[in-house]
Amino acid sequence: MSSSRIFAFTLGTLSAIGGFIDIGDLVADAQVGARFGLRLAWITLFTVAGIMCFAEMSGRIAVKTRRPALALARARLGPAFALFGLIGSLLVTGLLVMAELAGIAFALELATGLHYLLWIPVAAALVLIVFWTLPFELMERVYGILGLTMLVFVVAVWHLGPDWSDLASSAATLKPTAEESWATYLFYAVALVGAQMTPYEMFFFSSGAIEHRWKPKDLIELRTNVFIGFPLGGILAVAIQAVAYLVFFDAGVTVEHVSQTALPVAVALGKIGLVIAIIGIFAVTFGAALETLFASSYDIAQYFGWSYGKVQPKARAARFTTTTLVLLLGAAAFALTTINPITVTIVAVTCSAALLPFLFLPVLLVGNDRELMGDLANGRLSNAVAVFTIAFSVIVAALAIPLLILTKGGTV
Amino acid sequence: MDERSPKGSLLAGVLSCIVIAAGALWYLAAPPKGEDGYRERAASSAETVRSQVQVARIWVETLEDAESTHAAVAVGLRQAEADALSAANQFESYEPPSGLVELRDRYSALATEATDALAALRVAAQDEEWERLGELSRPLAPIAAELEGLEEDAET
Repeated sequence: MSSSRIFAFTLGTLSAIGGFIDIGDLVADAQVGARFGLRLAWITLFTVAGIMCFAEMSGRIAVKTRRPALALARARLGPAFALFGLIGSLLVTGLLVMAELAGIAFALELATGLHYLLWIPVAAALVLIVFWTLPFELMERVYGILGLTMLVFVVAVWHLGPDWSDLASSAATLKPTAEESWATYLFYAVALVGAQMTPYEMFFFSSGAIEHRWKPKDLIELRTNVFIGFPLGGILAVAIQAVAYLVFFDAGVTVEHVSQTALPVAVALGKIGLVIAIIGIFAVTFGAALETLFASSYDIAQYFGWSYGKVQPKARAARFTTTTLVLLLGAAAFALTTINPITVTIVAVTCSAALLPFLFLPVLLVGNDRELMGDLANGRLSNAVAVFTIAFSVIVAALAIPLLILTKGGTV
Repeated sequence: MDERSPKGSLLAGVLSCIVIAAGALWYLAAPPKGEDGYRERAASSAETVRSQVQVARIWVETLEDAESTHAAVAVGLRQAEADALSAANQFESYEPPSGLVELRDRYSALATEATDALAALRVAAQDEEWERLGELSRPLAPIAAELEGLEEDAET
């Protein structure tokens, strides 16, 4: 294998690590760590396995058919199902675009002290400039690599000098603490599923494979990125939970802001650690803002059969480009209404969890179509993990909205 | 046989969603009901204020140990004050059931103490009087302890 190919592999995998974390993880992981320690870390095992399975499957479908998995699935399941899926995923991903823009603004606020609302237009302008000027691959790699600075959370766990047996015992306890109810515990479990198994990762992965014009020989790279990058991203998510637990749990702090996600890193590693964490938060939210924005535009363009793509000249994909710009402006305007982005994030990830079975099932059906997929159809292991993930996500979906209301968004 | 047109089904579906959403919003925004509800809300609100007091303490500690930047501390203190104030204002807007006026008064006194202390920190940070933050944060520990006591008393 040539050195340039190994370099491409490494970059892709590193991008997947950074790309796993977004505003939903930054908020939900820190909240969970502060309230439950590592008692919900087991959720990350399921979500990493699930998102790996479906990201690989949708990438494989795109490689084989040159069409996005969801577009194929929708063509089979009819316009009503397709419209339901489109509206549902657009609502959730649209809210996440706004939340990610706010995440960029929070990072800039922490760096400068200026209120985050002043940074929202700047964040939107930066996203627009990158969207307009940077090529797809470079864009994906730059924020992915910068997102690796989030590994500072893993280093912070070591520096805080935890009692490892206490952490292990917390991770092995699959029930709420004495002060918390089962309803709240389950609500945060659902929120973690929604934050870590985000459907837009699948849309983006699948559409990205088409943009890159990947062929069956590129499957090794795709699988390396998924099977190494996502589990390492999962470790990062657990590290965020762990530092929040170590610094906040005994003090009785409930995390309400992104600044509080970064605070344990300052406690552990001082100014340098805090600065690296701020860069990491900026990078992952910036990357996720682009991903969610593209995922929404891909979704609309694929549903209506428009020409789409970042690699195409803007004029040839005019409707795709216009949709992306309108979504970006709409998200920025929504963020400027002063609505609490953290509340929006929690609502969005919970609703995202409720939508999972509707998005996963069609992809599984296409992946099993041997006529269409030929030798790249799902194997037994892929089907077993996918069926388990869908069964798990059906339970999560059934609980999501009732728990959101019952626990008032996890506040009781 | 009950035959419903697609338009009728769609309308019924939309109306059901609106009714469910309205019911959920009403439940989420409803004031506490009865003594138990009021006590529960008092405990939850005291917990939120205590959480912000503790966060402010940690931010000031990081500054004293040169572990944090001035900008980040200023942001952390501003957010802590705003959240504590918002929780306190919301709880104080509820009418206490007869017999729990004392609980409300105790809560109000403590919440005022907490928000005043947090405001003093925020103002000092805004004026870049960083060396004063340590001294101004000293009342926070006893306030947090008292808020924890209030939480426990409200729940029993």
